[in-house]
Amino acid sequence: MIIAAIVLFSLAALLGIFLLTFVLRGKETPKAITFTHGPIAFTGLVLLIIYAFQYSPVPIASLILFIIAALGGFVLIFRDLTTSSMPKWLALLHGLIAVAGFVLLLKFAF
Amino acid sequence: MKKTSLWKDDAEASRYSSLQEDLNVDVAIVGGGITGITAAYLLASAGKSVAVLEARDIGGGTTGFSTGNLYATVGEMLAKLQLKFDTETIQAVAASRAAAVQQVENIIHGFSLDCDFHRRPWRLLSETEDNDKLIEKEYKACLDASLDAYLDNAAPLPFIISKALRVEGQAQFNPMQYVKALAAHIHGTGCTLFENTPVIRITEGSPNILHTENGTVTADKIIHATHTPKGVFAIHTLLGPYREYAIAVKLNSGSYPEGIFWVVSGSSHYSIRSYTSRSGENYLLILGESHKVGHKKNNEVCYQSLEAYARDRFDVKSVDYHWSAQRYKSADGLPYIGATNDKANVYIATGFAADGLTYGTLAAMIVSDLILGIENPWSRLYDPRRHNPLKSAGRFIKESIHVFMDYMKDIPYKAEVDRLSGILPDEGKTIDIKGEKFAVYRDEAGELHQVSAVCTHMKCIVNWNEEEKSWDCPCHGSRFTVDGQVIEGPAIVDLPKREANNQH
Repeated sequence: MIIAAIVLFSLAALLGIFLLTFVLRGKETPKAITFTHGPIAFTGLVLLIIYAFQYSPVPIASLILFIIAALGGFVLIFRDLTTSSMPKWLALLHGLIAVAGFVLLLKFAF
Repeated sequence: MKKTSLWKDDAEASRYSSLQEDLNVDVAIVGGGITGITAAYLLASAGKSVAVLEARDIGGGTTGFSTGNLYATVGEMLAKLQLKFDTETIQAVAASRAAAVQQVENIIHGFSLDCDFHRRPWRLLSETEDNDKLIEKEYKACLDASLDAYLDNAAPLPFIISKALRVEGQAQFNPMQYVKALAAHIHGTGCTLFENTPVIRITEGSPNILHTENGTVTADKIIHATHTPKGVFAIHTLLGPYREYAIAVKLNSGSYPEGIFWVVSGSSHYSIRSYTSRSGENYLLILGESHKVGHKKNNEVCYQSLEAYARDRFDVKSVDYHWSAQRYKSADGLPYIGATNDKANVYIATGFAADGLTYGTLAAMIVSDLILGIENPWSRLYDPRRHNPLKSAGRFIKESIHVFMDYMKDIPYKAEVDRLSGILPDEGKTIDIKGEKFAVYRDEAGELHQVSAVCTHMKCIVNWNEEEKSWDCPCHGSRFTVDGQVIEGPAIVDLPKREANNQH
């Protein structure tokens, strides 16, 4: 299950980096990617939460970082859909927190 | 053949100035159609100071493209509503709508408005036995709703009818003439009307501030009388935007049937009525061919289908007008009319489906009562904050899936064409340049009109409407001209002009 989460987070990260290139250039994000990145990342998070309930020890730091990243992600998608500009700093921060969570997860798993 | 509505062509022009200064009023109404003008009349009559901000011309939006029919029944069918809710609900729906029709008649007689108002029967007809059950069920529901309903096998139409439901005492009028005439009476009497005054930003609060190009309006209350509220509202997830088409024809025989006729033909529904213009010309109107906004690639076939239907059943001499109109279906089958939150400073009126003229009037009655602190017997029934999750689930899920699928079509580096040369004269297509989407129309002279293809409401990619020469958003129904100006829908901001910079 943790491997599945890692695979999903990897895919989400690739899509997220692609989206970031649009945000940093001040361009509209392609929504097919936005609505793929989010659900894939969210599914990874759900698997990680299930893992946390079923096994011990738990990658708690990674989980907390991913939850914070997810909350940031919800704010970002809301801003993306309803306003004319996306805060670049928030998109970067969201990405950095997710990457930090991912690195910690890899460390935990391997 | 004129590509406009019969009402618009037959109405007197109105001339109200655009807003050129800051204003402070009790109530600001966005939208000058039947809902906005009726609400303005009711509120101004009660002593409120009112400003109506109309983006184009009074009555020139959906009101000017409607059928001109007023009735207590509903397009969704009372029988279907009764199944979803209960008998008490359809009694309230029928009673509220009948009250709205009466309100229109009272206003017309009170001001002696010249708008061709007549009380006439409404009919629901099946052409073949296959649809008889639907008619019979609706008849039963009409009786349960205390309507003056009759069931027989004939109607004053020149083609065979299998079953005919008739409800007496409904009405028809010229909607645009009505709204313009009412507007003329209320302008300057506690109410100021502004045309060519699109609202470009709204700051909600106490008070609310509405920003236009040349002035701001500060108001305690705002009414969104724009058919769907402007801006982003949660209610938009509960609305499905649809378009319907109309033709106005002349007949060889000169025999124009009087009344409201809704004909069920196979799986299609048509609305038929006659109208005599101010110059004495008779027309037969046929409406139908409904589809979701932005979801029909070749909508010219809708007019062709209507014409074929008309020629098959009437002795059509000529097709003189054609136009299309927009409507919003609600998730549970009832419109959303009332305050958007407990602060009660913003009011909406939407989800009218095909019954906009009557529901628009009713909405004006309910909202003005709410603002004036008067108890209205139907405000709870139509409250936009009602919770009907089970009743709303089916349509909510369906519309949400549509919206999701529309978002998923926004794939990077993929559009209808990849070069500007791929766009022929009088053609509109989306093009993707380096991951950015443009909506480009090449006019008949070869000039390019280039705007962003990303809807300014909630970022769906717009689709080309071949007949109207407009960019239509398939998600929530916003529509834009070839140069990006908002025509209708929830979008407030125009599509920004963009140069695609691809000359090949």
